[in-house]
Order: sequence, then structure tokens, then C-alpha cells
Amino acid sequence: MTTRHMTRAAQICAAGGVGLGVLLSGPAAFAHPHVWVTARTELVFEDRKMQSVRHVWRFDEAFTAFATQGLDTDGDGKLSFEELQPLAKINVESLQEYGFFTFVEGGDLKAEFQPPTEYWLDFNNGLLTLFYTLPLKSPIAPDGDGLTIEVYDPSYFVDFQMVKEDPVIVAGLPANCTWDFEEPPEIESDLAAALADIPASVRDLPPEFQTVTETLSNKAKVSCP
Amino acid sequence: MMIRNSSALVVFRKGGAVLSGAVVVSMLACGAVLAAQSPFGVAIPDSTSPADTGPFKSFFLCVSAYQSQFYQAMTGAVKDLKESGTAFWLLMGLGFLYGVFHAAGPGHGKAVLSSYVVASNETARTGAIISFLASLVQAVSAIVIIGFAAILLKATSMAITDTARAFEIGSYALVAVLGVFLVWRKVLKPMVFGLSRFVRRSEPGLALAGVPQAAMQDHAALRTLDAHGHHHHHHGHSHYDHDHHGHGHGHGHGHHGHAHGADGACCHMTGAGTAEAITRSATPLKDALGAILAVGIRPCSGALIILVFTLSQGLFWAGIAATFAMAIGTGLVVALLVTLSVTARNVAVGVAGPGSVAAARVQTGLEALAALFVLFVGVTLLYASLLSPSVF
Repeated sequence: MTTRHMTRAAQICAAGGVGLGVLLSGPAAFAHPHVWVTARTELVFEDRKMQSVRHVWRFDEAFTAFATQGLDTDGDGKLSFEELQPLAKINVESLQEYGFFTFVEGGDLKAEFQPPTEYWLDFNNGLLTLFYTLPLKSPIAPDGDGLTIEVYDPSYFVDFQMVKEDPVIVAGLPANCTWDFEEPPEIESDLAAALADIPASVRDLPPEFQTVTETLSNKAKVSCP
Repeated sequence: MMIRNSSALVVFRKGGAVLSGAVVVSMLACGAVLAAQSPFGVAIPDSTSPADTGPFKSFFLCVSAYQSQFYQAMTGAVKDLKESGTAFWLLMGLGFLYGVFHAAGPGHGKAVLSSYVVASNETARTGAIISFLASLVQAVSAIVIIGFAAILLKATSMAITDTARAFEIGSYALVAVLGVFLVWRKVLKPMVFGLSRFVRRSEPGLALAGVPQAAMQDHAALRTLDAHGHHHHHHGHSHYDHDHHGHGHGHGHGHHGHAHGADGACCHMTGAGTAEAITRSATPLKDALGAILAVGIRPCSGALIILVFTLSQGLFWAGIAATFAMAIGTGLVVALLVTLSVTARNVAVGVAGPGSVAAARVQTGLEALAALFVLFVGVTLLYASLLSPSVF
């Protein structure tokens, strides 16, 4: 008995404590996906600088049903602009904490946003669509390194898919600039292949499995060579 | 003996100090990141596992992708149900699979339940039952919220989200209270009473004399000690000898203490078996009610959304059925994970040598660690959720 055992007990305690710390002090929370958004993003340039992002986000049917619950206050079976506006307001106000799921970078600059003032919801064919304009606090010029614009939820509560037709629209693109949008690879097919290869230890994930994480982001690039 | 025991105490305390240090540091480090506010102001993310980076992200992402597919297929099945009744079984199957993947994803529920079961030294069977009950309570919680708020009160999604938030905070508060209770019983009380026992115990040769923190959980034994000095010291640690046989949860019930007091140190392996089995089958679930409610009253956003969706389709009954199918899937996986942690505990005790001092120490250490973990999770989640501005 014995000091050896005792030391081991202490070691177990210490290791457990450290493990706990590592496990629970990650930088952000990871969620279950509950909202599916089909998105279209418009980048608005003026005076060679990106001024704002205009988002069109269409929600899935189940989330639409949940979000619109109890909003048909006049009971006419339709959802008017007035009936939807309180929801639109809480939508854009709540999105603030999540950085609007919009990540704009130019070189070392990361864009910050002003609270949207132009926003509304539209209910059509059982689906709710959020329209809003997101102004940059300080407009960014796409010099040198160009600009990247990503729309995604790192916590994966919201599953963003860009709409197939015109996922990105650029208004007022500076003369010598080009832009492109890369379609993220299909998550499902990657997953099926990767799943077969899951090793016993999740710490040694094969590289092709790691790439799955990158498919979350929908990335557009503006380059001005 | 004295020296050995003292060093055991010192090491135990050292370990405890390191652990507490780590817990406090982690608490400061993660603070509010665990608080999941709703990005659209309606429907709360069930995000309580910080796994944005690191090895778990890919795993969760993979699980989430499947979950996502089953979830969307479920909404499809609900619509098919309007045309054909056979879609009901599809809906049930999808609900079950969704539940399975939901439980395999991030979440504090399984962590709390696993820790509770290890901390209170329950059997795998009891742990599995507790897991299933917690999942069923979670289903009922979602159905009650939607039934009252959406159907009776015709509340908006914003009001329903506020209600769900209140249940969530209640759940975290209960986890914190459960943690305080477990830490008192498994860490503080043994520490507080541990020293006085060493001073009193001087007779060598008792197999388990080196377990300082174990025995003091028994009021009856304590009273005997206080009244008669060290004559009856063996009452206390004879009790501990059983812990790896799975009746540690009996602590705190005067029942056990009295039984030991009456029988002296006799009830090691035989004799008390039947009585123990009876006690075990009757009390653990009552004891676990706090854990079951703590985890269960927080409704899952997926269930809330599916219920409102079926309600909007005029198929609320199908939503209720799907919610229970989900609960069965979730309960199954959580029960599996809880059983796994009990097995791991048993293996650890087994490796250390059953009945040995080391085994007892591993057992006690794990119980203390699990108790601290429950407290940590509860306090962190409660703190973070109260901090989030959308609450008030």
C-alpha cells in the first residue's frame, strides 16, 4: 500500500482534472442542427469598397412552422408584413450575437457590422424567408489580398446551403476585380466514405474526414490583381 | 498505520486540490461560451458541448449530418402521413434513428447521468433505467410545453422559446443542486470527517483501514464512534468494503447504517446480499429522481419544432408519437453510454484488485471526480445561461 498506489490515485485525479479542463474549455459550443437555411448573398460595393451584405435566407418547413406559430393574430390564415415584423426584428437582433453568421475578411481586416435597419420576413408556399441588409462598420477595399466572404454557422445549429442558382451576386464590382464562389463538396458522399474509415480512436481521424469540417463554410472571393 | 493513513490523506487532498484547481481554471476559461442563445430569437440550440475545435468536432459533425438527414426525412414523413397511414411507421423509425443520433451528438445530459451513476455508485442496470426515464421525461416535457403553450394559449414561437428557456434554466439549476449534494456527500464530508477518523483509528490489521474518506458517510456508524470511542471503529469501514458491489448509494439512508450497527462487521459478502438487493431495487430510482428531473425537464428543440410542425399539419398525435420514438432512441444510446461508464469504473476497480485498498481508492476517487464534474457542469451551464441577455 502504499505510497505508490496513493500517488497513482493522485495522478488519476490530476489527469482527470486536466482532462475535464481540456474537454470543457473549448472556444465555442457545438450544436445539433435544427434550422436549415437556403441562402443567397449579395455583396454591395460602392467607391471601390464593400459597403454591405444583403442576405436572403429561406428557412426550412419545420422551422418555419415553429417560428410562425401564434403569429397569425387576425386569424385570416395569412401572415402579413405587420404580423411577421416582430419576428423579423427578434431574428436580426438575435443574430448579432452570432456575428450574423457572416465572415468578411480583407487581408488582416475582419469586418464588423452595424445592426441592420432594413429587414423583413416573407411567408410564401409554407416557407419563411428573411431579407436583411448588413452594413459594414467600416467599408473594406479589396486591395492586394482581395476579400473573402463566408456564410456559415461554426456551431452547426443552422445548416447553411447556398441556393443553386446565383448563390452570390455582386453589385458595383470595382473595374479590375473578379469574384468567384466555390461550391462546397457534398457533405453526404464525403461522410459515407469517411464513416467507413473511422478508427477506434477519434483522435486519429483520417485527413479525408477532417475535410468534412471545411464543407460547412460557403466561401466567395473577390480578387483585384 | 498512522503514517500510511496520513500520507493517504495528504495525497488525497493534494489530488483534490489539483482537481479543484483544474475545475476552477476551466470554469473561468469557458464561462459564457457554453450558453447557447438562439440565433433567430426562436428555438434554442441544444449546444452544450464545446467542440468547435479539436478532435471531437469532426465526429460531432458527422453525427450531426446524419441527424440532420433523419430530421428532414421526418418532416417529409409527416407530410406523407396525410396521404397514407403507412408513413406512420416510417415516421416512428426515423424518429428513433434521429433520437439515436441526437444522443450520440453533443449534450450535457449523458455527461451528467454518467457522472451521477458513477458518483452514486449505481449498477449498470439502474443506470440504464435512469437514462431511459430521463429521456421519457424529456419527451413529456416537450409535449406538455407545446400542449399548453401552443394549443391552449396559442402562444407565439417567441413565448414558447422563453418557456423552453425557463425549463432549461430550471434544469441547469437542478444539475447544480445535484452537484452540490454529490460533492458534499462524496468529497467534502469524507474530507471533513476523514481526519478525525485517522486520529481515532489505531488498531492495525483491518483490510480496509487505509480508506480514510469512505466510512464517514454513515450517520449511525458515526454516532457509534462518537459515543464509544474506537471500540466500534470497524462499523465504518466494513461499510466501505461493499462499495464495489454496488450499494454505495445506500449512504445517507439511516437504514444501512443501522443494519451495520446491529450486525457488527459481519456483512461483508454474504448474508446481507438479499436485503441489499431489495434495498437496491427500491431506493436508487427514488434517489435518482433528482438526476432524472434535472436532465429531463429541459426539452429538446428538435422535439419542440417537430411537435409544432405536426400541429401545423393537423397531425399533433403523430408528433407526440414521434417524440416518444425519439426518446426511446435517445434513451437507448444514453443507457449504453452510462453502462459503458459503469463498466469502465468496474474495470478500473478490477485492475486495482477487487477488495484491495487501491481498488477502494480508485472507487472513491472516481466517485469524487464524478461528483465534482456534475457540480462543474451544473454551475457552468447555469452561470452561462443566466448571463445570456435574452433571458430577461
